[in-house]
Amino acid sequence: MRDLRSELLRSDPVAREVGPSPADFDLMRRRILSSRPVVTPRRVGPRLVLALVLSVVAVNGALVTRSRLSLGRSDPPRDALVGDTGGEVALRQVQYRTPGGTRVFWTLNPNLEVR
Amino acid sequence: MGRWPAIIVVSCSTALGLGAALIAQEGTPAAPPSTQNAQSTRLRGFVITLVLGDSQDSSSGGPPRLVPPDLHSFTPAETKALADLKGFLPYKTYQPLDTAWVIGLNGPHLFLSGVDGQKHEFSMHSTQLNPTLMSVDMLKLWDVPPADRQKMVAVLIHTTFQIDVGETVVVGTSRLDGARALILLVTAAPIPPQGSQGNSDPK
Repeated sequence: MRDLRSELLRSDPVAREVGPSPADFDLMRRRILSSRPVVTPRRVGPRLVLALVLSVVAVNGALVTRSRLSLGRSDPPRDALVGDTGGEVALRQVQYRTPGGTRVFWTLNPNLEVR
Repeated sequence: MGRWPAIIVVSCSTALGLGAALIAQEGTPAAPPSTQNAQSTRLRGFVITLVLGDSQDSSSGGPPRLVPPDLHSFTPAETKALADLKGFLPYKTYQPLDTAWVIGLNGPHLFLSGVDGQKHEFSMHSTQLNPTLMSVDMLKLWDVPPADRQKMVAVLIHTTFQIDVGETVVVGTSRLDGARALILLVTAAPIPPQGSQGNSDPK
């Protein structure tokens, strides 16, 4: 008595086929490898170099500017600033040079009281 | 591919080196002049003289008088600067009130005695543009703050200018129609030549 399973195995053509040869395996492997998409490494191009150099230059510029502003200077006393910021009088300053070569810087202060 | 890291390292090192050099240059005083002649024109400090200019004088006519006239109260440079003011300023007498030295480019706050003992505070900050030219970035004269902090501090003079070593600049303030004026004579005093026994006292 033949059951369906034994009948399917008997008539299966795979059982009668010969497997691929080693040469076929080799050919198949080469085809697979050759058809693999080429992944090129991302180039660290001039843009990145330029960006890095610009960043370093910008940081240096900031440091140099900061050093120029801070070296050898000290803030005037707060008391002196009070008069500047709070002064309501607009001081007018004139400059001129005398024929003898002396330079004069003169501040006109309408509220000045010289006792 | 292999050369980019080297390029990056070299570029960054160059930029950092330039920045460090600039910062170091800012923090280092200018190199002293090599010649003896240039050395004699280097700045020693500033002579600050507070002067009262007054247009009311009993002896009218004639050139402006220096009060007192015979005590060498002014240096020769200051005397010349005051003489140059003739015809420009209406003051007939110039009376020295106080004198102080500012050694170097910057000095501490100074207190100058004004008219009738009135105290003024003085401060200045300068930078050296070249061995013989200074930039006075801030020169300020103001009244000593009153004990009552609610009152405003009166700034009398606040200005900036450039000055050559050896030059005397007149910085003054007055009312437009005022009979009296407060004047600062600022002299950029040079280092006396080696071997000379110059008078170091500004008075």
